[in-house]
Amino acid sequence: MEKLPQDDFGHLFRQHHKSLCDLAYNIVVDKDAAKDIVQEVFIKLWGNREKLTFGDQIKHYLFKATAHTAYNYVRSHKRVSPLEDYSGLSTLQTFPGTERVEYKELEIRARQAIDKLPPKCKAIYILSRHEGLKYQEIADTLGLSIKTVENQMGIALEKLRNELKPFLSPEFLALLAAIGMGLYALFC
Amino acid sequence: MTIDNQHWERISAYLSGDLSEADKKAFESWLQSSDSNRFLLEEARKVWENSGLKLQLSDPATEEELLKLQSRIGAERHEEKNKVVSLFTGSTAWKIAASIAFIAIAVYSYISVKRSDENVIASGNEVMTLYLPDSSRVWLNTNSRILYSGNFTGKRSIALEGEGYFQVRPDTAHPFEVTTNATSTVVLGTSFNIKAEDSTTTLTVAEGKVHFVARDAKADESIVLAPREQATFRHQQKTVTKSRSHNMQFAAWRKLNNPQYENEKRNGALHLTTNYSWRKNQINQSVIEGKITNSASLAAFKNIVLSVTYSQPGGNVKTTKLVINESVRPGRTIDYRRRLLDIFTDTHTLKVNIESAEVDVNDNY
Repeated sequence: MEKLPQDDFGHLFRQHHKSLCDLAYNIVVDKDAAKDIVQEVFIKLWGNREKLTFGDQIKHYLFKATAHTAYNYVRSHKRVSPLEDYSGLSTLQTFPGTERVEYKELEIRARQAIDKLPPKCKAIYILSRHEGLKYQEIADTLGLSIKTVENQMGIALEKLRNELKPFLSPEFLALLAAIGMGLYALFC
Repeated sequence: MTIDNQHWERISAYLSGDLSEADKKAFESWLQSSDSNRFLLEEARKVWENSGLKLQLSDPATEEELLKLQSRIGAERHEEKNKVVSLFTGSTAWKIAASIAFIAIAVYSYISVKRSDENVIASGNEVMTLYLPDSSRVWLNTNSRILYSGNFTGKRSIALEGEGYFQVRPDTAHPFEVTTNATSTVVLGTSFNIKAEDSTTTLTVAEGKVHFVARDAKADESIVLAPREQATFRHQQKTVTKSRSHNMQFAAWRKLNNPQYENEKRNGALHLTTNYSWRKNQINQSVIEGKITNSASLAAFKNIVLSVTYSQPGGNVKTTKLVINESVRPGRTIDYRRRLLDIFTDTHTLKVNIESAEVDVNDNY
């Protein structure tokens, strides 16, 4: 059982900073808030360095602490930005340096729909879908009962499906196909 | 309201791989029952599959953030840093001493890196409650240790010294193995207690089936134990004896010197949640039907006091208390159904909160 050596602190920070920021950013959808959340997590880690034991567990600890802090943040800061202000999507499409530039329309719509979920619902859904956490782990991370997690996951999926309904139905795809064929006929 | 959501709960649990064995059957028969149900699942699956897009911070500014952090951490760290610097600016003797120290640190960190793949968790003089990376739960008796390597993804294998109670998460593809100095225990998903002492190792099963192998037993056999069965391996004689355990006394140690259990006992209401729906019946009473779930690890609760707040159109708010005597065991859910004496009230909102609960000390889960 190792205590955290002081010199490794910077190393640890560099190693995990980006992925923790991304985790927080997906929950709060606010760049500066995401960075501040990760700062808080490391400050707390520093304060507790004598009490905590580290090994492989540290990554787990950082992840949990970031998710929890981000969740508390969205719970206490009601986002007033309407959908028009949504910046996450433009970030997705424009920021340089990612391999993947083209996303399916449905994926982008789904991302927007996730951001419209109530805070609790959203944090739980992201931890399950993005981070692959089991319900029990989500319950432990966010300090909720497993029943709440089950319940909120159901609500989240139902809301997402209702929101995305127009893009899921075969009628819509048929319509697209018809337009496509119409255009094809027109130009050939 | 809960009834309508139930199939959504099951669909999401199914898609995320969190559907319990018990719910699987109900889910399958729900699927079989109509085409539109299967269609709904397909839609949900499409939503699930397409909702994995992660936002990324284009510029996390890690170095800037690190500087900010360091300045916040403040003087303590600066002092230490200055000391190291002054070492290197000193005499040759100091430089040699510093180099030796450096090498020592390098060797130490090499060893610790090599070892960092192993996770050791040891309890002191208090019982520890913890989760393994696969979400299995372990209670570790005082002065006991567990050891496992990596993050548990391939093989779920764990070494135990002392005594531990394991509640294993079902995963038929990955057997869960606990080894002690003398024995090995393999399960798929059950609860059991292992006590490794100098001369004997005792395994007692609480739920499910467990395979138990004593490494140097005379007859090299693997015993299968059912709930409440106990196997004792005597290290000297190299014999395994099977017996029955008539109660849960073998697991009672988990409640002694256990800070988590003490916390649960003090804050009953925090570990209980309720889901409910309500309606007016024919004689205009409000009927509340609900469930209470106990998320505590060890404490069972009884005499649960519910405070019901309901209001009239005029804005008059009334509160009344209901008591549920039934005991709720840890991890379990009970149903309740109560009527209010609000015949003359045109109740239009109603809220149920859990106010308090008593620990059921007779429960020996």
